[in-house]
Amino acid sequence: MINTIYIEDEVSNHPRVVEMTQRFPSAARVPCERYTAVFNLKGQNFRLQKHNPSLMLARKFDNFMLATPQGYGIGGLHNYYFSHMLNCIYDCRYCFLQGMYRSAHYVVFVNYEDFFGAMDEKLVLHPQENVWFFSGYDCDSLALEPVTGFTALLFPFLESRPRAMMELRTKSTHIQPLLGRDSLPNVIVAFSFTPAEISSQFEHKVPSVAKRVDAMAKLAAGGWQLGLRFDPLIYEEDFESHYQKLFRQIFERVDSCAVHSVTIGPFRMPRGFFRNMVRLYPEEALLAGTFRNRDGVVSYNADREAAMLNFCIRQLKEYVAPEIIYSCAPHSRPNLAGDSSDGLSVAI
Amino acid sequence: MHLVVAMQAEALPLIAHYGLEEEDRRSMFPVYRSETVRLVISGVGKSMAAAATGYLHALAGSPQHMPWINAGIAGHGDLTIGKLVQACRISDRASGRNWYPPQVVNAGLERTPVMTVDHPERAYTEALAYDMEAAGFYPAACRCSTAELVQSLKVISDNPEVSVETLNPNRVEQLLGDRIREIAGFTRELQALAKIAAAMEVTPNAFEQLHKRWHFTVTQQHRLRRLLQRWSTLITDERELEASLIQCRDATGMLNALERHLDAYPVRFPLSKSGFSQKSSLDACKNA
Repeated sequence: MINTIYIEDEVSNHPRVVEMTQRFPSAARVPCERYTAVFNLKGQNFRLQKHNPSLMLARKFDNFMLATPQGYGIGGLHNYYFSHMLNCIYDCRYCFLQGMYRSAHYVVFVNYEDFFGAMDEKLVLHPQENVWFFSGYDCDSLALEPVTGFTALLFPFLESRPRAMMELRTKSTHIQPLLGRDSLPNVIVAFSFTPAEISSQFEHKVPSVAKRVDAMAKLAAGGWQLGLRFDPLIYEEDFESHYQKLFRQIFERVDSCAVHSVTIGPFRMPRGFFRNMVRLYPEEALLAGTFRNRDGVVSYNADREAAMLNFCIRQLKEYVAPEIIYSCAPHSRPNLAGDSSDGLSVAI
Repeated sequence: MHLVVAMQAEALPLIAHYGLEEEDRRSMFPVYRSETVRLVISGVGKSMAAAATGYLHALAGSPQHMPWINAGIAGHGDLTIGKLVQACRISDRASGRNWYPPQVVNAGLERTPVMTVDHPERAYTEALAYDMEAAGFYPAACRCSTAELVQSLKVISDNPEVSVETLNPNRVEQLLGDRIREIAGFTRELQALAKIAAAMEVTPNAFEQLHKRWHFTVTQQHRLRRLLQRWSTLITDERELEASLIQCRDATGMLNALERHLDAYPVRFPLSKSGFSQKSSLDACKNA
């Protein structure tokens, strides 16, 4: 429940702001000059704010579409990500957002049209090819959809732009907006998973694995293309049996023909983010495991990482074609047989 | 819990509720305290509030993660007399600066912006609270604690219908006294948050004992603290700590031994742990 809504002065009369605030009639509305005056301040504590985050309604001015990090992609040549929201209603202990941001408040940039305009610019920049856009990098694409209504505008936009390929990444089971309409061939609804044993301990407030699988099955029945995202892979002694069980659980319910792509990525985190997370959760078991600082990135050691990736790839090949399995870990590619290590995200 | 109030009349209900006793009559500001609560009476105005906040912080030994509350009366453009509100924005009319106390505690209080003015407000031109201290208190207290733990609570004492001129010490005391349960409820929630914040900084028990035994550089102290945090999270068998340290001859060797042991420890999720006694383990280390 949202108790406080910060509203940038510039968007206070924006129709989307009026609509969103009406959803929370008892919430205090706090005018502010810029969301950054609240969100970016020093001396805040992400963990404490996570107990009761506020909503911030703001306007984004620039950098609507950003090139994805090297290795991030599912087969496209040109990949961009965007964030019409910052932060997430879920509380996953491995999430980099808690190490990246000072505040846990949810920021929604209400000028959606500017994001769409920036997508059009990228389509012009890369003519005659599919251009990939990734939502859900700094947020969950669907979790706050009842408030944001973003897809209601995004889908009509995408209908008329078949070259604009869109990944919506989520852990949410809020799929009504998708089930209530025709599927789109240029939209991939990608669900993130860790095994149930890990999810129950580290993915707080997230729908269970079973519920997410159920949502995937419904979307597949509705003709939507699906993505599977095993990123980050979390190590533990029972890693193999837990991931094996997870893959079986998913593909027992989800037709592999509906799966557009599978992405795997080992746990990896910029060192500064990791340090912030440890500061917030020094007692957290996930962060107490064995990690190495590899060129400023905290991850498992190279051997363990390669073993995890190779195991998952072997297992996944029993369910889907190798052409649709992608790795998001450029530094681990030399360890993977058959990888071209060419700096692009490649199918295994 | 640190409380900052402007006037004796505002302080009296809090002093009574928390059973506070005067600390030192000759001090720069009147301070009252119990085992867990300190209250300072700043006098009227934001400069005094800022000074009293800093004074109380220093007097208490500069504790981290202390909840800070500025409690007092305020006028309001349209709220009814006697209502207790939580400041969601604090503005300094003189400088035009704004602060936004994070609204993490949800004690059911109405949230309202507070405008700090240099002279009592009589026009009530906007639908917000008018006080004379919050903009001095808040930025000062944020230097002492994390922003989530710094809050300002105001009881509405005057509005366009009831003039500020009607106020006297007895009335002010009554206004605060009538809302003391709600104030106490809010402070309890804030104290619960403070416990979480404090837990983030807890130094493992074993740290001091090991620190005394060997010389650690500052970098090594950070490493030791983190290794002991990992140990207390992951390991269930205390004999393992004893075994891992028994051969140690210096700080470097001890840190490496701890790290090797932790790195080799088989982690299974969901994690179950039964805890361990660091004291007995360290005794074994000392005897090595």
